Amino acid sequence: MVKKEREKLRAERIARTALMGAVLFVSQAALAFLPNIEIVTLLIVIFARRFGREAAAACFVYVCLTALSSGFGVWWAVYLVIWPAFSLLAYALRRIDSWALWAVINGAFGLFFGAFFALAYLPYSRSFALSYWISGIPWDITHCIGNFFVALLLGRPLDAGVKRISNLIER
Amino acid sequence: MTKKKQLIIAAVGAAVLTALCAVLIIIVFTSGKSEPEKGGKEITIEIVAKDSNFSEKYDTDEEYLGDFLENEKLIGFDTTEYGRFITSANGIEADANAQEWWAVYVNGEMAVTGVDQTVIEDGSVYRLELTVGW
Repeated sequence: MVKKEREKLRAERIARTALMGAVLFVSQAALAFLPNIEIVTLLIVIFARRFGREAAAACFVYVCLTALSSGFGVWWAVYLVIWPAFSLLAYALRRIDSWALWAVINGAFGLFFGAFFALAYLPYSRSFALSYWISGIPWDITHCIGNFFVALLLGRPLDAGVKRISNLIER
Repeated sequence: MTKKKQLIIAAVGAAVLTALCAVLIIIVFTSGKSEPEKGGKEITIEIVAKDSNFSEKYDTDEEYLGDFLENEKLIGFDTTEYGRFITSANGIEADANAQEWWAVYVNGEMAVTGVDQTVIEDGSVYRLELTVGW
């Protein structure tokens, strides 16, 4: 491949990663008024299936933007691991094309979201980690139900929309 | 994997998720707070912040830490839907802009409940510690 073409590809990737990160951030902010209902998980699945490991980089952009708007803390360190890890999982499972199955996977991710945070608090205090997890269970269940229905209802149309936009850009 | 196989896995997964939610709801309802003790109790209150250390023994009939701390005028607080949220202790304000907050420790372990749910037990040491970062 000619050097110029390679540079163009790299620039494209950087721009796409930044754009995906920004879309994740805006979508999270837009739904912030609905507690634990979000489309970030679904968008990460769509991005990971379509753009592979670039989605993990987009997650870093998203997490950094979130920190700039909400401040840094223990939660941020967990975000830094949890979202890119989930995007890599989605990439590994990219051959799944049933949105019903993605709804279950996203629902499970929502259900265990609080538990992942509790794991981060384990070295600090075991009892605090346990109480943190238990007190957040009602929110985890909301997250699970929200993620399940968001993926089930919006998975196919959003995926088609992202495909259309990326085809337009590539043309 | 065929589409049919994926749908079967999705159906089984949805059933497992529903069962897990039910189990977690049971965990939430069964992990209740302990019952308060009636009568007099001797407790120690410690307030640790920056360069200030406060430690005092008290005799009290109060059942919950939140009521005791308010009656002794040891804390300032905001009332939230979850109960009292401590904003100052021993006159020292936590600066939320600097991510400061008051952590509550019971006998050296971080409290698993808020001050309004923390039952006062005879001989216990309750420590309020100004903590930075969340």
